[in-house]
Amino acid sequence: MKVLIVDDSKAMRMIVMRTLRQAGFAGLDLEEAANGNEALAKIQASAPDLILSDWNMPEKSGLELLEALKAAGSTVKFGFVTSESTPAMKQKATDAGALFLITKPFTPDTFKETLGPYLS
Amino acid sequence: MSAPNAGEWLDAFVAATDELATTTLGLEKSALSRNGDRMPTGRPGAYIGFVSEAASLQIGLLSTPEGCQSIAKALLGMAPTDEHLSDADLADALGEVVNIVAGSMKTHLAEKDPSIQLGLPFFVHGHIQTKSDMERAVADGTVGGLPISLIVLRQPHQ
Repeated sequence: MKVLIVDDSKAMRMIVMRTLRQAGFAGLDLEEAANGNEALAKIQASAPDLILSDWNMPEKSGLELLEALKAAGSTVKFGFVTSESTPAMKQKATDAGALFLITKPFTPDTFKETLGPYLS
Repeated sequence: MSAPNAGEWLDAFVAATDELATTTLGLEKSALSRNGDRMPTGRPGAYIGFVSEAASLQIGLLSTPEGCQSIAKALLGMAPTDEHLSDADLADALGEVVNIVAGSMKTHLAEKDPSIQLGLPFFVHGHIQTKSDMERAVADGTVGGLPISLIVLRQPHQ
């Protein structure tokens, strides 16, 4: 299963990958992108099964990435991993078609519980 | 409902830093106390901006160069004795620390000011020059035994 991790922080992409392993999700094909534009190119090239995206990023935000995917008719599974979690943002994420919003800091248990239905 | 002042921002900053330190970073509880508006000098650190209908703000998490390395390594799950991070990796990791803290602050303070928007983090090696009409609030102390200063610079909108 291919998972694309989108975050402008290299450190956070590494932490997400480490947490996926700690949560017991082995054998994943992990790819990285540093912003929404880079993610769009990788999605077209490799068709991931799940996208884990930050919200605030330069060039193209996570929400703009999701909106662009929906506008293009994409049905790829998409969720946010972000430091913000106000009710207004959660509503925006849901309205845009996100399946979940994981708030940083997170734990392997959070990943296991939230991502289990999509990565099992 | 009134927008949070610099002191309230600082209280939220201290609480969010303590939470991250004792969970994700695996450090001991922080010992930070307000230190008026005296800006620390000579300390590098990561900053992030907020903007709301009421004010523009910058918050900064500063330490010594060694302290910055230790905090960044803690985030990355590295041992304190591991090889030092490059300047770019240090800025990236400490920027993510302050980004996570800022996200928690925004969630907490959004009850008082729903218009708060969060910016992107950046790292500063030198001195920050503030404007005289900026509200400043500073907390000094330690996090996990590391010397830390937290600063809030708030510019109310006219």
